[in-house]
Parts: sequence; C-alpha cells; structure tokens
Amino acid sequence: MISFLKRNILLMVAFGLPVVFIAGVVLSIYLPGVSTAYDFVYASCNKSYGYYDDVCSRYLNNAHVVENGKLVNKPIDPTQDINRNKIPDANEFTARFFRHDTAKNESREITLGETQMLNFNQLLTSPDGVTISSHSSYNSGFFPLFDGRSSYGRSLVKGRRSTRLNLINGVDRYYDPSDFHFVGWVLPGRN
Amino acid sequence: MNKDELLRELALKISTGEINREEVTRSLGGSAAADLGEPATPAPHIGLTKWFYWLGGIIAIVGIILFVGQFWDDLGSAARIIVTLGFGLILAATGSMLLKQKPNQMIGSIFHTLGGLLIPGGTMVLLYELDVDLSTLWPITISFGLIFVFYLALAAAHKRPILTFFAVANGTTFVYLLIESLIEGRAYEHENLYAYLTMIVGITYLLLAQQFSRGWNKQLAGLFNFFGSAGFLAAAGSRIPDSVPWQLIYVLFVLAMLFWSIRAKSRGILAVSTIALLAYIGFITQEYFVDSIGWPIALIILGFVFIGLGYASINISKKYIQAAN
Repeated sequence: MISFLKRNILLMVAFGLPVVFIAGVVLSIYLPGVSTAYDFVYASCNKSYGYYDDVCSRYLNNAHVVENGKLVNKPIDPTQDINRNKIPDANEFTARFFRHDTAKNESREITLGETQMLNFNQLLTSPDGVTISSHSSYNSGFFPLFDGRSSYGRSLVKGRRSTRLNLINGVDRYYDPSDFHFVGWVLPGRN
Repeated sequence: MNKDELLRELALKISTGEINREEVTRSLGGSAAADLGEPATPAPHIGLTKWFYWLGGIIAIVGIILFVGQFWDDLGSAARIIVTLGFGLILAATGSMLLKQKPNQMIGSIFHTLGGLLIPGGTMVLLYELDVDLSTLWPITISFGLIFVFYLALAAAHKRPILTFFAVANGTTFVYLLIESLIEGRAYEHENLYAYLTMIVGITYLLLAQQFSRGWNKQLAGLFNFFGSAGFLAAAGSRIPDSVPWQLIYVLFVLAMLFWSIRAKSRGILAVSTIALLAYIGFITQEYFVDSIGWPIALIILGFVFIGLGYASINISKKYIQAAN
C-alpha cells in the first residue's frame, strides 16, 4: 500500500488539485450568503424593449416615487412619449409591483394599493447594510460550442459577499433587465 | 504463465513503453541488439507503417464526416445516434478487441482514436435527439463525466497512451463544464475563475507528465509538458495587466518553469517559458519604460534582450535537455 502511494503520489496530487478547486467553488456557493431582515419591493413594466432599453425605467421613475416613506403616484403628462413611438407612455406602460421575500428568496406580485400601504426606507441600502446590485456573468467563449452565454441578474451585496436574487422577469436574461425599478426596503423588518 | 503468454506479455510491455529492450537485455546480462537478434534502431518501415495507419485513420474519419453530412438532414433521430455515438462505440469496441488480440500492433489504437473522436460528439447528438433540456449545462457536464470515467476504465484495462489521452481530454472538459454548471447565472467573475482553474489544470498536466515520463504513457509526457506549461503561464499572464502583485510574481513563475524544463528535460516547457519571458519583458517595457526612453530605444534594447534569451534558451536545450535525452 505504501509503495503504491509512493509510486502514484504525483498522480494523486494531479487529480486532487482540480477536485480541491471544485470543492472550493462548491463551498463558496453553499456557504451562507448575504441575508437581510428586510423585504423589498420592485417594479417592472408590462412591456420591455430589450437590449439596453431604459424607457421603462424612465417611465417608472417619473410615475411612481417614494416620498416620506410612502409610494406616491405622480401624474405624468398624457402626451409624454419617451421613446417617441407615437404611443403616449400613459397608454403604453403599466407598472407591476413585486414584493421580494428575502428570507425565502422569492417574489410575489402585489397590487398598487397593497404597495401604497407599505412603509419604505428612503435609502438604497437596507437598515442592516445590504444593497441590491446588478451583476453580469459572461462566459467569454472558453468553450467553442457555448460561445458567449451571458446573463444579467441582481444580487444582495454586503462588502465582498453577494447572493443572487431570484426575481420575477429580471434574472438570467440575455440582456440587461433595465426595467427593474427598485422601489424601497419595506419597514419594519422581520426582527 | 506458459512461454507463449510470457512472451506476449513481454511484447506488450515493450510496445507500450513500460519497459524497453535495453532493460530486458540488461536483466539477462547481454547487449540489446545482439541478444534480441534485432538492430538497435527501429527499422524505417515500422515508422512508415505507423504513418500509413494514422493517415488512413484521418482520411477515414474525414470521409465518414463528409458522407454522413450529405445525408444528415434526411436521417431520423435513431439513425443520427447510430452513425455518431453508435459508430464511435463500435470503433472503440473493435479497438479493444484488436488490442487484446494484437497487443503489439498499432491498429487497435487507431480504432480507439477514431472512436474517441466520435464518442463526445455522438453523445451531444444523443442528448439533442432525445430532446434533453439543454437550457442548463448539467446534461452535457454529466455526459462528459461519464465519457471521462469510460476512458479512465479503458486506459486502466489496456494501458495505452491514446486511451489515457482521451481520458485526460474528456476529464479536462468535464472539469470546465462542471465549474460552469456550478456558477451558471451566479455573480461570479467568470474570467478570474477560469484563469485560476486553467493554472490548476496546467499544474495537473505538468504533474501527469512527470508521472508519465517513467511508464507506459511515456509518449504523452512531452505533450502534457507543453500544454501544462502553456496553460499555466498563459492563464497567469492574463492576470498581469490589471495587477502589480501579479506583475512581480509572474517572473518568478516563468523562472520556475525554466528550471522545471531542465529538471523534466522538456524542450516544450523551455520553448513556452522562453516565449512567456519574451512577452513579459515586452509588456513591462511597454508599460513602464517606453514613456521615459521612447519606443526606438526600447525596441533596440528589446531586440538584444530577445536575441540573448533565444541564445540562452538554445544553450540550455543543448546542454541540459538534448544531452540528457
């Protein structure tokens, strides 16, 4: 046995190195990630123009604003047409609201009325120091067969750690989900 | 073990490179050429036969691809699977039979080469035709994992370098696919991760080459030394542009690799290390010295440095590697 190990030590180290690397990646995935005691609400449009389109985001910024911790509907000019497609924005877009349960990492659609009953933190960072940040993952063509697989998503971020969010209508697209509109952190938290 | 079996076993070991004629003769206490009744150098026609085998194999595989390509659209799912994966498995099975029956001939390895080229692609065809959900990489990853195990088992059974090659090639693909499957859609810096993984794979190849240099996989040592050093130094080099610590540490890696080329007696590592050192000096010059001394002077200095490194590399090869080989 000892002589077998001696003879094959290089072979074992050679096979062991990638195994250790893979184990490290697995550990980094399944170790507890970023958590927060606060849920958040985000909005999305009923319609998106895809690639690098910020029309929805601009519409949502104008139409729904958090003031004094409450979501307020702002009247928008009925002739406003941000993308100049001759359809007024008021007729073209409808906001959809989602409450994301950060404990379960799942989203649920809520009505405008329910959203307006909630209290929001005015800041992008939650009271326990967590922020939502976009991330992109891009396989830069290492495998010829799967060239250019890319996806964008959003994560909870605190310091260098991050946890991917399972959002509705905004994760793993092949373009930037720019119709994601962060409304605010819901107060009070779970604790 | 009777005489025939003993001789067949001995012929197999010699043909796979596990032992050589000189070692056999030494153990019998005589000179290799005289005692075995053969010339010390291999007869030229054996090399030519091997070349014909390989050439025939390549022509056959190109012919198969062209032939199947003509009818691909007209073939049903079952036929597509049969002409790719099925045919690959038949070739591999034939190769195994020939390796058993004619252990000291190349023909079995040729069949395995053809099979090894067809099986991975055939497996992809199988997944596609079975309508497996390919929205994630997991089915492909698992398939390559199984192919890796398949070739590992074949290599252990037959002890042939070509089977080891396919085991390592499919194993490497499996490792990259596994990492991609694990991190797919997550907030990882893919480029960084793959750079570090490629460094690990490079070191793995160098260790395998070292292990192979004294066994039946001896023929693969040069190949793995070359790809191991190239993978490691290229991946480490990709870290240099954005990181001063990497700029400092990289030169140590290159020098270590130059040292390793002498220890491993590998011209492949020496060539890769020399190219890496030239690229490194070029990068550092362009990054830090061009603004102060100007391009013309920098080019003159670089030119002489390159000549010097080339000369040193050739001398190292002559003195420490060719002499030892």
